[in-house]
Amino acid sequence: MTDQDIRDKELSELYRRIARGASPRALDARILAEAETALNSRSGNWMRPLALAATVILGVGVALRISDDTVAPTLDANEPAADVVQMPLESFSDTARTDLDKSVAQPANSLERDQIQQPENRPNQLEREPAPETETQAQAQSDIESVQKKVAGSRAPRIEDLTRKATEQARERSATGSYAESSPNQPSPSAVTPAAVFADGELDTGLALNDLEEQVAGPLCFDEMQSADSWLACIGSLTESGDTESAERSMEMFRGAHPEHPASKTR
Amino acid sequence: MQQTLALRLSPVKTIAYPRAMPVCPDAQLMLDYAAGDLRAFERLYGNHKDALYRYALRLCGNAACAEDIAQEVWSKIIKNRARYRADAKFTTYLYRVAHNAFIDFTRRTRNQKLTDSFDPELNADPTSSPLASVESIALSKAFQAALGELPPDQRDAYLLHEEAGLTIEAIAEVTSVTRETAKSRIRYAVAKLKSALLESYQPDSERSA
Repeated sequence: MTDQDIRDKELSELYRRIARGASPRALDARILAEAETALNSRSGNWMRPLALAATVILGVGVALRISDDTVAPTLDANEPAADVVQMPLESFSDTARTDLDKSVAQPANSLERDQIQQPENRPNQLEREPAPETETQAQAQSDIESVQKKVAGSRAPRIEDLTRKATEQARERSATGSYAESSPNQPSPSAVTPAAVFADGELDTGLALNDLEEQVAGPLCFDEMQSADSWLACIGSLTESGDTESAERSMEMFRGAHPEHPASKTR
Repeated sequence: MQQTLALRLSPVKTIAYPRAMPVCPDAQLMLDYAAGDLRAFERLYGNHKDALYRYALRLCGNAACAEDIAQEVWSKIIKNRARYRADAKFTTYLYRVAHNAFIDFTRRTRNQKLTDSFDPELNADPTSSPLASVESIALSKAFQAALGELPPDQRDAYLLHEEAGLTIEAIAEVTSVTRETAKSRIRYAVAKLKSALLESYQPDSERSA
């Protein structure tokens, strides 16, 4: 059977007679306008590369922004770390400073130079400083570093405050030597050290900050960047205000930081 | 017979290329439009717009539906002009798009009866006499009713054959069936239409007898 056998001639003629529909003019106008617009706009030629480029640029921008946000707390946390490393060395651990000086620039007659640089009214630090000081510094530094690592790894709010307070707390412990011997009035070192604050492995900044704020409660005159005179003036103002306990604690810290100062030798 | 164009590159090596297939005029118009020639599209559209519209109109029996389908088909052809390849007749390509558009349309309007708003009077020949017009309208109504009674596959195959003028092979390709299936659908459609029209025009005396 061929195609012609299928087609019924009478039926085809009948179909031709009744099939008189024509495409509406409005439809024709719409389609021809669309065809012209498609040729004129040629949006397919440049829209796709433009969209791709915009997506790539936005993606890179967001990725850089996210990486900056991640790095920023780490950098902030490193700033006090440098101070912390320097502070005990400058304040009262001249043993470590001497060792550092020797290791950095080792002169042939280092002992001589050390003696020359020693002030006359300053006794030999090797003899004066107690031996556990080096361990105290190492413990303080390790605690500070552990705090800074945990703080850097988190994105909790008030992170700079937490870092600063933890660092100050560690400095205070290092300055007063409370890592080696804890006074009965103060909590045990394991409860106070920043490492212990984060010992559970989870950084609960609210709780940790409260603990640290309790530890550093009370107005204390303590700033290693402060001059000895302004420090003493601050202690004097504490004494005048009647806060003798804070004044005494500040004075102890002052003695630790400025052992050569005449005020340190007077009780 | 396959003709080949031999290209002698070297005395020992010969490569034969098949001779390029001639491009049909409509396919060439489509290629010209893809290259930026709007006049080519206008000619192409003029060649096929009425047949496509009638195909859609008979298929769904609804002027609004026919307009939607026709617009969708031409929009797709305009949008995909750069991807058009003249490896088949343009009519096959056009009605494949139309067939798919109708399937999509029936899926969207699965629960709607499509033949309600079809008005045969709109298709009457305005130049014919009133008597002929009445007869034409009656015939058109009967034909449309018989067409509407056909199963969709048979109606589609019949319209592709009768309205679009596609061959059995092209209909099989458009509707994604075998040649025999396409042929069978047309045969059944023709038989059912003839039977329905004869029954409509049978005199009342014969019908009662």
